[in-house]
Amino acid sequence: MTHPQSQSAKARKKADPFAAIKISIMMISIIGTMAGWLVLLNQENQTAAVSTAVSDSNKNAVTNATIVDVDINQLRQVNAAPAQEIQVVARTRSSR
Amino acid sequence: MTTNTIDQTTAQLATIKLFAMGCHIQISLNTKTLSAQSSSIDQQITLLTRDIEHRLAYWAQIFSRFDDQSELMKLNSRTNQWVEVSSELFEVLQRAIDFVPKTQGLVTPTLLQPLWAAGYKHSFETLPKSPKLELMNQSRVSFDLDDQSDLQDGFVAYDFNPDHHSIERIQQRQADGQYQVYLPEGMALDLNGYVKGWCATKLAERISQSHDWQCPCLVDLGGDMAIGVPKDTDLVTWGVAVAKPYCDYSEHGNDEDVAILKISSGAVATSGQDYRRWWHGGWQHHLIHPHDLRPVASDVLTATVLTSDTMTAEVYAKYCVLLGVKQAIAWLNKFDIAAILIDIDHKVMTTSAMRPNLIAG
Repeated sequence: MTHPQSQSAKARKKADPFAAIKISIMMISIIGTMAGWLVLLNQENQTAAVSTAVSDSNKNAVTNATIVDVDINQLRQVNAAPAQEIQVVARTRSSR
Repeated sequence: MTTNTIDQTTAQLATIKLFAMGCHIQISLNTKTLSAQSSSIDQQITLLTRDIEHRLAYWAQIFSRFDDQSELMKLNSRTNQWVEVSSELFEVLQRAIDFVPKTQGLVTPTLLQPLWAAGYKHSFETLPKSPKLELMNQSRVSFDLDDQSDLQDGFVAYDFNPDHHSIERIQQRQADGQYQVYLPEGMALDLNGYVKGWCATKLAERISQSHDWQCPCLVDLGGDMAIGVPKDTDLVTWGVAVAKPYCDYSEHGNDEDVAILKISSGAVATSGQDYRRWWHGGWQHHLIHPHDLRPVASDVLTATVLTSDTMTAEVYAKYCVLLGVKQAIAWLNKFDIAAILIDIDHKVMTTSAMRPNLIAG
């Protein structure tokens, strides 16, 4: 007849190799998730700083407005890829 | 009316160019869905062009203010009585009237006489663009050298009565299939800006929805544009450049752009005091302020508006010029309207609602 305490000890011995692997996987997952959030937060902070800088530089020109003075050079830097895909077919201007 | 060219610029894009109703017209057709259907796209484009020319000629007979025999000018000459008009004129006039309260009365169709007083009585191409040319034009007609009033301020003696321009005095009625308009004495209508937008939309709808082709298209009437979208088809994205304001009457053109827009539906229009300017005892332009009945002195050089239909875009663009930069900005922000303003210092301002449509130039 097998003693219950020895049976438990045997069961714990069998589980040990897998437990270590599981713990390692869990720690790697936690570390990876935290790293990902840190990267995202860092990107958002950088983006907010650029937007604020553009708006601040134009406060004197436009009061209480969300309109932003647009430098044509800024337009050329933004979304350069779509310009290559869309063909300009017309030009809007004062009545001709 | 002259058909200049029919260009097949790419395998999927065809272009029709015309000159009608006093403006340059360009119609871009996305023929991607047609190549499998028609063996002769050029022939079909020719037929479509004839159809468009016919419609433009018909509308010119209704709306031209430079033809005394047009329906509009006959209406202007028959005040204080009910006059039967076409459904087209009735519709455009009704929409023009609807815009008046939306623009605080600044954009109104009742300013033909102040426009004449400013010297814009004939087509723009005939107007003098310099003092020398004005004197040359005047020397061809009887000219009273003792009357200096015209030379001093450019305006003839004019009945300055604001009641004559009150929109509430216009009446419209429809009965038994007849459309009738009552213009009070002293009032004369100019529907030019409204008509361009209306025609652009009608042509776009015709080409994309009721024509045999049902072809995606972009209709450009002198810079006012409508996008035609066929039913049950994927949207086509069109690239539209926003031109730099016109600087002078140089022969070398002004094709620089301040922005590029991507548009899949709706309309875009630009209004401004940069191009339609002429010399009449001083520099005049066509945007009359209804309060003093003179060309507006505004710090907005041009305004470009993107919205659902072309007439609305044209009216709102004109409204921005009449308001001036500060009030225009406040109004555009309040109603979240996509717009680009260029002031008289050539500073470019863009509303946040326009940004999704902006791409690099």
